[in-house]
Amino acid sequence: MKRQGWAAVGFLTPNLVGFLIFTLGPVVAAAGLSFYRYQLASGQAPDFIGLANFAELVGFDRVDGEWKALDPYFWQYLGNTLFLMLNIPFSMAGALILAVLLNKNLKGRIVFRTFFFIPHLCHGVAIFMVWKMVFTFEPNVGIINGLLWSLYKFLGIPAEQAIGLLPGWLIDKNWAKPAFIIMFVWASVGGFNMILYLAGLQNIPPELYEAAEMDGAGWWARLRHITVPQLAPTTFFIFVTSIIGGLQGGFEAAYIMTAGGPEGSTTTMSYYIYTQAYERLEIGYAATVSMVLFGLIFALTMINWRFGGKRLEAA
Amino acid sequence: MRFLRLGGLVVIVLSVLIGASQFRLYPTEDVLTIWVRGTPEQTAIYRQIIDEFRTLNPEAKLRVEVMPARRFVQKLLAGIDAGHAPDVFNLHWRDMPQVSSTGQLLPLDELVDRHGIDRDDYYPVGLRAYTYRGVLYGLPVKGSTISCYYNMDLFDRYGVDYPTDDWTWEELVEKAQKLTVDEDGDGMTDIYGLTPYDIANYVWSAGGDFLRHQDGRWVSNLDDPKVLLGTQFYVDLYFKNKISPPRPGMRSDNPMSTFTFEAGRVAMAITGPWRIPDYQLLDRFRWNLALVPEGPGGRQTRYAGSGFSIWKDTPQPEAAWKLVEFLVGPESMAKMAVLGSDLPPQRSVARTTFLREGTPWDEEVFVRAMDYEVQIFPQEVWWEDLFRRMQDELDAALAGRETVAESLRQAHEVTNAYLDRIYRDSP
Repeated sequence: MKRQGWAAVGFLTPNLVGFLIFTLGPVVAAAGLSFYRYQLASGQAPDFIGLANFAELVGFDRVDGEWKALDPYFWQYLGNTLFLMLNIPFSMAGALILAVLLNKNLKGRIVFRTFFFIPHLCHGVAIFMVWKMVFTFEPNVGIINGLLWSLYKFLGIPAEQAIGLLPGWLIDKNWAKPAFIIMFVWASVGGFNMILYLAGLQNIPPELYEAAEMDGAGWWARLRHITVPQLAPTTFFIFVTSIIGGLQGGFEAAYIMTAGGPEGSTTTMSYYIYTQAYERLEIGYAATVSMVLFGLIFALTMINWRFGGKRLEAA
Repeated sequence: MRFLRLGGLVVIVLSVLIGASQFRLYPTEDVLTIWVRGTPEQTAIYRQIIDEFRTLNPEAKLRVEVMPARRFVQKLLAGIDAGHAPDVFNLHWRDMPQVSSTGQLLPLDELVDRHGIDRDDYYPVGLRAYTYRGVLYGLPVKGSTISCYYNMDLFDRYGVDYPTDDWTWEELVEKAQKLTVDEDGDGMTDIYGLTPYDIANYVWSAGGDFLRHQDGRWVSNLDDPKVLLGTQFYVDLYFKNKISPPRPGMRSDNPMSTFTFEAGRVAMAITGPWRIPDYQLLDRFRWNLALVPEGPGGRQTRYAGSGFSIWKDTPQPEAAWKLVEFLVGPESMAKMAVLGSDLPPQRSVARTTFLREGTPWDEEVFVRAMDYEVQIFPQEVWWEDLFRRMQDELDAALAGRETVAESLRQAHEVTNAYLDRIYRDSP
């Protein structure tokens, strides 16, 4: 027992040291820096300004009888980040459906599992470049608009009118976010979420299904009353990690596909942190944005635990 | 099992020992560290130049590190902040304000004068791009501006005359309209007339500018009718004339699709000599070069270049200078020029070395283009961030949801609010 204890310490220490130096250290430093005005490499010592960065970031000022945000970009980018998180329910539902289908004794299901998992193995940059072409406006290049164009033609809509009916994926601020959501759903539906659901499905005792079948429950009733409740812990885990990932995400896709545009509609919180830290060199302000994001993630996770977690315990 | 464990242990111990033997304190006092960036071909030339320097100066201990361009400035600034920066490093002109504003670069004016470097032989914009608040902090090793590549086969096929030296904006639109073609008559454009590069050149060529100096500080100049003229012209290329392929906003000027010059689906592409290494491989069509067309405010383009700077706290400033002098010297510039992607920043060298014999296209255009008005952006650390926000406002016009005048009015307000905040925080 004692020997095992030492072995455990031996295995855990490298990870713990790495975590302390490369994760916890920077997190604590960022928390501290958020109270300072600090420009990177300026040669000037950080200047303690208390909560001024936070006030600037989330504060409002009354101008000409109207409340105006001191940093309107923060609110815009926060809105973008939350909007883009709409991909989460679609991704989760898709992952569940795929997992249920792939859990059946289908011919060649290993091949299907591999295919659905492939996007997860591809490098993000490659995926974003391909989707940039898929979303190209011109129907003779962009696949989606190409299909729509064929549909319009089939319906007998004249070309001049059809052009006006094509969505401006990535070039119109109202279409850029839906485009990102479609891409995110595609990329994540067959990924780890599906694997987690598959693992969860295999843990459901087959007796439950057998009993339900004897009682005359159909496919839908079995899914609703056995599969979904039995998978609740998995769903909860995926939901929490997706929310965390969603709040932190979006930087790479926006950096590569749209440079955060059009009209800043795909700039997310992580993109804002990047530009503040490495373009404006305002490390203190960037740390403040990070801390607010951290607070938001923390609060949402707590709410999830409080409501979702308790319900799970009760079940 | 035991054997496996022992083997594993041996591997771990060996890895640790090898790792430890590779460990060096960074930087050591007498080794001069140089950071370079660029394409593999460019960095290979830098290495070659530095090897020659080693041969001529056997006493010099040098370490060359090739850094990826994307995170170059972040790494550099973090290094400077931690007191471990390279002694000599490559700097792109657009990164200059950020790095020089830190006050961590060695001023070069006195060294340049003492070593008799002929400032007058440099294209003025090249030195201006490396001057911050009146002090020279770097010397360019290459610097160029944009020109117009055109697909001769498409021009011939559709009976359009090639551009001439004195062509204007009107002619650009006229030619691009003729070259925007729906080849199979299905209602979709198969070839576009033009990819125009970014908006700056058009605002400048209309005689306008984004900011102006007023009462000792920058203010928005977006209310200038000349800016409206330039922006309107630019937006019309996309929205009214539909002679340029749509793209995701003002800021993202990468091609979104296969509508590119190299694919033969864009008749004219306005961009810089850095595309020559790619385009010279094209064998499906013939192409040539022309100056960019003149706007109502003349022919005004933008600069692009790269140079070398020295860290202020280098333990060996004299040795670092000697290396920089060699790196940006005429022979090094000539070596760089062989690639065709980089115009030497000195007139005498550009005229004699950039023009390669036997190329069917008129490379001299890039040399001549440097004699016109070549501009740079305001050298302020906040410029890139502000420019992004300005362009975000103009996206509404590019998408056709607002008029150019409306979106400029908003961009004007946003810019002034932004600048007010900057000057309030650090007057």
